[in-house]
Amino acid sequence: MAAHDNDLNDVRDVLLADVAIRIQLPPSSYQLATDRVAKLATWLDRPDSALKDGVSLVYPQGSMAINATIGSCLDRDEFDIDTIAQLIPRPGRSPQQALDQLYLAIKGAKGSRYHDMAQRNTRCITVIYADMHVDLTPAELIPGGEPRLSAIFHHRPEEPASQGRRVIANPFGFAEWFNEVTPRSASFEAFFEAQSMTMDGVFVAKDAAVEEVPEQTPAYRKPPAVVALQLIKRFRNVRYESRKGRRPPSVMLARLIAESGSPSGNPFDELLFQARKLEHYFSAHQRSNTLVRVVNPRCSEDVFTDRWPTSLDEQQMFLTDLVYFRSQLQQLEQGADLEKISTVFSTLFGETVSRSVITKFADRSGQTIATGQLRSERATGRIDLSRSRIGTVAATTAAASQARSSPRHTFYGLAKK
Amino acid sequence: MALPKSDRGLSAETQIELMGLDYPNLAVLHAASWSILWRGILTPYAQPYVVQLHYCAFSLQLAAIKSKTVHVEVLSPLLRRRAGAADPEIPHIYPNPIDKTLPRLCLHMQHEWNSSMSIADTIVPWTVEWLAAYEGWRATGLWSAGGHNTERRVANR
Repeated sequence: MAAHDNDLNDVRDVLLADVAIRIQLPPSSYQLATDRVAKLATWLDRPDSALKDGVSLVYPQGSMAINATIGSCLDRDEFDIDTIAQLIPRPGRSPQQALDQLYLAIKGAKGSRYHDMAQRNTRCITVIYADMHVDLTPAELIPGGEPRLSAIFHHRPEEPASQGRRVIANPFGFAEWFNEVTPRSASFEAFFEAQSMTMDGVFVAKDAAVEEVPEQTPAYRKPPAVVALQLIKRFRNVRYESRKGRRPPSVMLARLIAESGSPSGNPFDELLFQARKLEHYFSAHQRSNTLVRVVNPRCSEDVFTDRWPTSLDEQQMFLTDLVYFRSQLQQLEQGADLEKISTVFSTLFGETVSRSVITKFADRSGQTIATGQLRSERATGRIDLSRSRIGTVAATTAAASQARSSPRHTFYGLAKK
Repeated sequence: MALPKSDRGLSAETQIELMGLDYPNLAVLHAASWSILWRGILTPYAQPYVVQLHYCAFSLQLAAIKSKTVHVEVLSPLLRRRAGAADPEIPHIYPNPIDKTLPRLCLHMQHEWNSSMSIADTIVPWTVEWLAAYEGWRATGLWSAGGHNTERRVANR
């Protein structure tokens, strides 16, 4: 979008950021998740635990490690928090034993705090809270490789022990790589962090517990690509809500959107840039009748696409989604009113979220007009969202513009039929 | 057709000059000492609107033009009712007997504007505000920008 400035003054940018904030793990829940993971780590080390002195570290992985966690449900806030429980290696431990030991250690004795909350899965143990799921994936370090190169365990509870296997992975390395290579945008990140905190009404303590996000990378100072990733994941969730089978994995999407971004770094430009990049990537594979194969750049044996796609049909389905996604965004590129934006957002991100975001924006805008605080630029009439305090709490950082307010007035009368 | 000096307010030349300084995109289509017609594009958010402003020092009954009033019409995209809503009428407009598809915007109470005021400083930013409020109303069914007879703020979903 040629008209984009770098001050997040475009309504499409502001509304996309609002959607991303609305669907993301809010700061208060982030703090809660961090506290819960810390408590689980302590719980695993209690005196009567099956894993007393057997877990060296619990750390975030996946979306939590790159600050891209979004709600897993479309119409209610429910979040999946992914962590690794790094087990101290024990010779001869089978995948089944690793998963069962962690499961029993979390579950504890009847009547204890997690007894009715733990669920054994194929690769992890899920602790189910009312508003979030914390997944703990047991892993053993593989010595001599990249830091935290690990074996994770794969075993279906209903299958015999012999069916289990170890899978080499390096989620820590991937998160480290992602955070290193993803282009940053200081102005956008400051805006997004301030908006996230304001909309949540809390502040995240910088020294929040467990070993997680480095201090110089607060969880809500997100690069534009991470915000685009959250929006693309949301779109995927909307499209796959009623479909059976696996969804395109989040970690694959994260790998594909990293490394490059739009020149402006503004949400709309970034999202369209990433949508085109994904479409091009999948389209090229589909044309050559090959399935995408995306691996962890820090561990070539860690294949992110090992369970999806399993066929060209599955791949084509997602490509069709991406084409739709990009074409809908393009409709907004040349100009659109709030109604059009609302309609497009509803199809891409779900009606509830879209309606909430548009309604709040329209209400802020209306209140600003009603109280005579709207600032519009001469020449174009473009509303200065920053200085009008419609679009951003970071108004004080906005560049000076030619925007001025107008004398007080009263919209008069109604149409007569 | 010169106006009596005491009724003159800002001259047409001054209004045109002030408009040219602030909104050079609003082109003067017609100018006389008693009448000015501007047309151009305003873009409050992301939708450009072609608007037309007509100032006339005299009443023109046939065209429903009131004296010393600026009449503002939106030429493109045409203003639309909210189809299917319980109350689909567009708030804060008044009819245009010349062309019913181009209702005029109710931007102010009568006492809030007079011809001694710069149109560029008042009518144009008020038009921007009206368009922003209209977009919000189209998207939500709520006119949340206030105004006279604000009972139409009730949602029409």
